[in-house]
Amino acid sequence: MNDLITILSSTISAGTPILFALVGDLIGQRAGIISLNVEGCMLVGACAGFMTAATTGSLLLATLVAMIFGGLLALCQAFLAITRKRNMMASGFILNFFAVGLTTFFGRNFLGRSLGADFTWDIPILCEIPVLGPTVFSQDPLTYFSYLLPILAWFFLTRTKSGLLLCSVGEAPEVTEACGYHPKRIQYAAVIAAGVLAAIGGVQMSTVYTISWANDMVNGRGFIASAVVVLCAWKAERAYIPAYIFGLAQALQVFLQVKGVPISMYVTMMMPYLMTLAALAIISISKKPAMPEKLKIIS
Amino acid sequence: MEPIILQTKQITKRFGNFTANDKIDFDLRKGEIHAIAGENGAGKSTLMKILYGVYPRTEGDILVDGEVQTEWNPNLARAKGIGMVFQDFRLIPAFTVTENVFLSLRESGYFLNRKELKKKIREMSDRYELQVDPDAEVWRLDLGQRQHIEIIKLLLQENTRVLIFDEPTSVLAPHEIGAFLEMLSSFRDSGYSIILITHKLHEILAVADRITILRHGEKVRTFLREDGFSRDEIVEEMMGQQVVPPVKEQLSDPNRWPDAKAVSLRDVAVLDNYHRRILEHLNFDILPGQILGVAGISGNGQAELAEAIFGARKTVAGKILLGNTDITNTSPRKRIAQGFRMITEDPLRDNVVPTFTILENMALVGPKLKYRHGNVDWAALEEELKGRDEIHDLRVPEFSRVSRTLSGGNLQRMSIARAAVSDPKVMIACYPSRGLDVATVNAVHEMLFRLREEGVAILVISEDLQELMEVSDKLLILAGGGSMGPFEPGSLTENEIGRMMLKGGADDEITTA
Repeated sequence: MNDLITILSSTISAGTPILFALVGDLIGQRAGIISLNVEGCMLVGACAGFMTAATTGSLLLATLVAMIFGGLLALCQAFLAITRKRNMMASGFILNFFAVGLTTFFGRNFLGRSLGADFTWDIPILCEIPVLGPTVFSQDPLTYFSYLLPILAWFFLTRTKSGLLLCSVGEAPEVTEACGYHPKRIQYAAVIAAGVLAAIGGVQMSTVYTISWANDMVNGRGFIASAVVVLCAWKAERAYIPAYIFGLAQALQVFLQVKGVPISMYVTMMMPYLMTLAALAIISISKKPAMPEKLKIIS
Repeated sequence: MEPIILQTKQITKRFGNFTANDKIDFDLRKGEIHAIAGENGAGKSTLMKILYGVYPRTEGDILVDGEVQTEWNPNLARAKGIGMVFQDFRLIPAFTVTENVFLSLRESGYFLNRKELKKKIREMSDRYELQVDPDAEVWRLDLGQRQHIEIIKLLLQENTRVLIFDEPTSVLAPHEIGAFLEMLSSFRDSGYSIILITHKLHEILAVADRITILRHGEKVRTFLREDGFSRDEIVEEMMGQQVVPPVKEQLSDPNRWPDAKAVSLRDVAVLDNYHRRILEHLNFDILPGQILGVAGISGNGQAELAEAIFGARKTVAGKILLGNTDITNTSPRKRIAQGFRMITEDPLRDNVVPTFTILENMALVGPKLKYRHGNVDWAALEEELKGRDEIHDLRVPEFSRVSRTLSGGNLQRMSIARAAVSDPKVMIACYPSRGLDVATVNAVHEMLFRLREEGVAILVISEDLQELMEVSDKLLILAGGGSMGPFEPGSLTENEIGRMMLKGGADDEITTA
């Protein structure tokens, strides 16, 4: 029983950063811009957030600071990919390497430092439910917010004017323009939103999940998030599944190691990627056009 | 007399040195249908785009309710109640009808209330007998239905009072045109003012209250219904001097070209870009020395058929034969070597390298290049090509021009001429006369007739039934996921053809793969 709780609980903690970045990049991709830089935004968020939290002890402040820096990095991507019309893959990649250097430099004094704060906040009553209580309802505020995020994003993208406009830019910007809106401004907003959300994922990771700062600690989670947007077929409400599958793989990997199960950690780590590849192969033959038109041009 | 809503005074529009509209005066009264007629390239669409604010005007004034508008763009036009249905629809294929309507409405609020909006769409479509299913995704709909969505978008905008239609019947089957014109009349009777752009005379004569004729960018004359429209006078004003269409020789003995081969399709099926089986059980021959015309409402597989015959699209069933040789699913490269030539629907996209000059593009398909000192002998090629009549007749632009700086019409003429001079054996011509002026259309037809005399097997796809009736020896109709015919064009009336074009046209009958 305790094992199950451990696995579930760490599945959620490990899946949450990916969930944030995934929903963020999904929003960006619906507007026709792939933000490979969400990896960098997570890293910037993790670093700036940890530094703020370690200094002030406030999760709220840490999140706000992370959002600002994540948004600024995403602004670079927006400028390069939208205004300067550079290859969005290349600019995203480069920004990630830039972020690695930047955070390694500024975070050097915080390496190995403890946070000195615990942001876990049990939801009263609900946290007493067996199994669900100690796993789902015994987390931090950012994780609670992430539970709602895909649904909020779904509502935004399918039920509000801004959301539908955003999607229309990814499909046919000339139509957006004909409706009297500015496609580029919408793309900017979407790309920055992607960066901001990814940065929140970063904060959650450094202040709640690992509770420490380490160089390049995001370690590819942003890329994973960016790639598995395909798995959700660009539908925000499906973001839970790939995010928690990755979380589970992560949790199992640690768990099996601790239990001394004779299976290579690299095998467990491969599983989520294998699943993504399989899903990519299947989705490409489905006949309904799920992929935003403008992404087809670059793929 | 009803008040004037929209007016232009001395509107002029220049693109570089080219004057598309020259000092045009035009006005639209409440509750009338004012048709703007003229040949292709007369400046009709330009004038409408100025009226709707898409193009800024070079000179002149736009007046709404008698007030001069200093600033003018589509947003302001919509705010003043002016709406336009473009030839190329402004719809997002991946969205549902309701979502598309929601985006376009100015006062639709921030949150999409699907239920309420769907109800509104249904009410409006019942009122004017439109066929719009609010839940349908646009990519599944045919062009006629998409047009209805565009109309619904305008009607649901509460302040709309002017409807501008740019060549609205070009996407409809002959059979549907009557219903469309009736719909226009019912809009007029409900108080809307309508501007109808078309080059089809019988449509205007049926519904217009006034007809303004444009020719070469100038307004020639406005006819009033109360004066009685004289068909002959209107035609004369539209055409300027009369142009004599080329005459097709009678069909002669098919054994005249012993070496020529027919292209035969045997039970062929092709998929569209959405993996739907858009055409199946295709069985027909394109015979040497014959022109096979292909009629059908756009989107019924014309493009897919042409690509399949050319080898640019794989067939999923059946066989394609050239003479007795099976060429099913061989590459375009191989087929070009066998003499296949294709004039594609969109030359800029499919037929032309934008950064190449016209001469370099001409060299890509067909001519046997001569080499001098290891390089292509461009001078010799240029001289050889200039000796061909088609280059002159089709007014191919200056050879040294870079292709991407030229308009679509120029590139289309280049692409047609290139196919014609490169010794074709099988010619697949997609919409060869679309957007060209009468004289050039005649040159294109003359070219097709000459190739026919030389024993080339020719397939012509067109949306202009009149044209097909004139040029075709046999007529094939695409509808409902298959083909009908070939028929003798003389044996059918336009109405009969129209009914066939609609037969089984419903989307749900196309089987999905």
